[in-house]
Amino acid sequence: MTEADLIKGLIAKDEGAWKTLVDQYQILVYNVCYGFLQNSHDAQDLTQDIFIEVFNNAHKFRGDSKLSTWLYRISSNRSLNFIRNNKKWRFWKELSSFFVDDERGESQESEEPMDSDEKYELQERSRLLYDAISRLPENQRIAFTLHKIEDLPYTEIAEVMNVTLPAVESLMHRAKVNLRKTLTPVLK
Amino acid sequence: MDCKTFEEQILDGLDLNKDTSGAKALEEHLASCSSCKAFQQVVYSGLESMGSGRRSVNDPELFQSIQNKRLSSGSGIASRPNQVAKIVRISAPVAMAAASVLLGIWLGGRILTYTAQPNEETVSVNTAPELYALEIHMNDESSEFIENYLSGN
Ligand SMILES: [Zn+2]
Repeated sequence: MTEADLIKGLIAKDEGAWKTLVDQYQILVYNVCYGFLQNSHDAQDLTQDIFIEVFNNAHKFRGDSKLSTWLYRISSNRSLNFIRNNKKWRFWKELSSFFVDDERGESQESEEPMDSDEKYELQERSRLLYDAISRLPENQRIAFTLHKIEDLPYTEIAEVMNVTLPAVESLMHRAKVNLRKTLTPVLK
Repeated sequence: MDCKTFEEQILDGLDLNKDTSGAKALEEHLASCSSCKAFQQVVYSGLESMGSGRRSVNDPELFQSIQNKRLSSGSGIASRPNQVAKIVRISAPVAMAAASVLLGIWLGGRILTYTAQPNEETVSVNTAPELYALEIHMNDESSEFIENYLSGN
């Protein structure tokens, strides 16, 4: 099925097209959500919601970009919305992570078993970086996460964010300056 | 080169395994600079760790879960098992919240008992009720938030 056929099928609310979309793009959507949220339950919930939204709004897809670009855009925006709407909730979640094994630690598949000190240190480093990324302005956060975690090239990020290539370069530069400003004093 | 330049290279993802003059200079600097070493560890292993929960294979049940959620979103019937799972999932943080509120009440009480001592010259008569009111307000907000969260999910 070509992408054009898939989109036609989605607009026509065709069940086969709908299943193909989920099969082809669920890893993309889930991984973007996970990159932003760092929590598998939330990423899974949000992935479901995003596909439902895509199903309901397929007719709004203008076809001027790839389907994957559209999905990267929706997934990034919905992830940030989720974070914005759940700020209070995150507080309790973070509080509980002191007592319960952290989500990130549980999901790590390591070839060699880590002792608890190593595991703690890795979680701590991951938390420091995630906190620093969380403090970035949203556009810088999207650019940094898509580039560093999703491994998207700047050209594709420009399409996802609907900005020019120099704008992405500028966002990435400012993101790195801000991350240095946040992390350096903590690590001195 | 100074630490700032090396930190920028670390954020750019300079590959230490590559045999380049830049990689060699960074490696030499990391051997003697503990703060750049710590920065490199946070960035490199932090990024690796943040990417470690990503999926590389499809979840075979996702399509069915989405279908169920979509079909039930109007009726709200099939969302119940999910709701139970959510309540189980949030039980630890809610217990934590309740413990924090109780701790707040207890600490508030202790502080008020202390500040309301009559022999404390700097404490005015009105201070204790004001502090108490602030404490009550905070607790009201916390329980209202928890109630809203539970009813909203
Ligand atoms: Zn240095």
